[in-house]
Amino acid sequence: MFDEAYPVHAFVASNATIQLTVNGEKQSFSGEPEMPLLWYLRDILRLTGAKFGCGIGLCGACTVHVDGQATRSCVTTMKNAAGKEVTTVEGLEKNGLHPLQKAWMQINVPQCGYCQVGQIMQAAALLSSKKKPTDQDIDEAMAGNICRCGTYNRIRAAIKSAAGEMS
Amino acid sequence: MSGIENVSRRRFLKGGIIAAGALVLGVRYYPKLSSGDKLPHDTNADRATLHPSVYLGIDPDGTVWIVAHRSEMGTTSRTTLPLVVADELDADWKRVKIEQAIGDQRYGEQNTDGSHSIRGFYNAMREAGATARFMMIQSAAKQWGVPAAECETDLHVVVHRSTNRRAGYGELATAAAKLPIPKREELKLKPKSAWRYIGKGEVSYDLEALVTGKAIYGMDARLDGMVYASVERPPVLGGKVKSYDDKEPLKVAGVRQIVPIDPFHPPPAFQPLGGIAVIADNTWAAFQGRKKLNISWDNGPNETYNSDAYKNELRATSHNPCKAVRNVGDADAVFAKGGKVHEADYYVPFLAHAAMEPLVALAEFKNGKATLWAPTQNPQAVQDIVSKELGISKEDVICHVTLLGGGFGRKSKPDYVAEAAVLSKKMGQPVKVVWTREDDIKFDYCVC
Repeated sequence: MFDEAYPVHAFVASNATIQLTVNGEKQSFSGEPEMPLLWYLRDILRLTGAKFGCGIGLCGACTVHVDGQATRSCVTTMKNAAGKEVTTVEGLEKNGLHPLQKAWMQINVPQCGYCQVGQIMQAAALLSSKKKPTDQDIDEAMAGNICRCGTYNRIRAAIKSAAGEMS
Repeated sequence: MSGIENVSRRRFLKGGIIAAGALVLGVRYYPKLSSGDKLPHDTNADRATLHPSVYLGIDPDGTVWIVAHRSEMGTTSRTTLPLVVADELDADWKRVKIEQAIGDQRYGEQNTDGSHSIRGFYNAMREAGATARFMMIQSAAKQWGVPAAECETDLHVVVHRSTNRRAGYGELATAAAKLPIPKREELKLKPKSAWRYIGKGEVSYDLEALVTGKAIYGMDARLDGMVYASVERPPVLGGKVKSYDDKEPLKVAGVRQIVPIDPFHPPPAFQPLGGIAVIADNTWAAFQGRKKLNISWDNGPNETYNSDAYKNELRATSHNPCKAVRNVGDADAVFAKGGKVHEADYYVPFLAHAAMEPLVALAEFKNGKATLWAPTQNPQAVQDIVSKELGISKEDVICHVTLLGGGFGRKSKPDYVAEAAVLSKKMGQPVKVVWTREDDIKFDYCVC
């Protein structure tokens, strides 16, 4: 995982090693325990699906699953991710595309696309807890995910379509 | 490459769409590279067997390479313009591969700002496609010994109906490449009724990449051996660093180096604003190190700038007599008839563009050349500013355009890319400058 770009000395050895699972693979991290999960995923594991948008948990572009819950990885420290199972978009579906991704394509949801992975991860967590979400359920679950292009109507339609496919 | 003109936005607006279109159409053909010639970054279209246009190449396996020379920020112009080429060529869209152009004036104007990609390049794209289709027909006609007028195209093939002969574009490419490139007057564009793709709702070429997280934005660009930078910029335009702590930031795990950036030479235009960069092994370490800089600033000549005073000045100015640029009817006569008159001042503060993807750029300065990867709307402007900042020629500035997580005009300004280039030169290694959301809001250019 590490190469010359990421010398191990960058992570101070005095910190206790943090163990976690990312997309089904066990990982250990011995760096700064206050580092947000987002930067661990992006800069160290090179999983760049989760995006940096605001750094303070207000836009939702960094959304991943931590123990199945939609979580803002930019404000989740590595310390708090210890022992947890993290799923990013790269591990959302083992075989091909997740029904939400298919629906997103069918309804042609994205414009610039930068927020869409966060939107999909948020929606995936919703559908794993509510098989048949109402409009209100969708609006409540998705309220913290901002799309600057304004694709909200298509996002809602895609979630409904995927919910129909999955049930 | 004479005759190729870069249409600046100002000239574009001044000259109007038609004039700009005419200039753009000047960029039709680029001579096929002879062996040994090498452009800084030639495309697969350049290298293809048949290469009748800077935007297009066709290989003997039937692959059609189309160059997207405009930036993609969500309007799908990266898909739509190549789609116009493909339609006019009668190409099978499934056999088209889109390549993103670097900044290079041989493509004509690339400033993807002001909503004119289709208006400005629709005809150029149609001509590129029609040129290749013309050559395919000529090639097939010659091979079959029939008049070209008896031949037509169908999906990726030339057809001679009366003898029921067909030849695929791939198999015709080598012979077609030996034919002269037709003059514009010889081209016959498809009638609207024959369009395959235009207006039929084709989706983005990048759609699957966008929903799977595989799409590469500027934020996702990476080079082996790169370091990350976060920059503390002057809080007041034109400010300079008086002093800073160069020890505490280095105590942050992962921080490597503290690098000052020179202030700009007035006027600022799109130069880096100056300040202090923290170089680190990851983005977060750079952010943390920056918090320890404890910079003391000389705020410079704009220290006394006052937003309220400026607002009042704007308001007062708006009440001065002004030059009418358009008069319709007789407003005074209507007012004189009486009725209710509503008067109001409207004011908005400076507005940030606030794209979802904060500003970011990756630069590698090596052997006198700068190579950049950036979510830029204007790669030729990047070439201009980086060549000035680093004292190298424009040809030695290679600007790769990634996908943009929104742009809205802010990313047509190349300051953030120049910053990365300057830092890479100072560091002697690839540097990725990541702006925080706060930086993105604070150091925007005014939207008027």
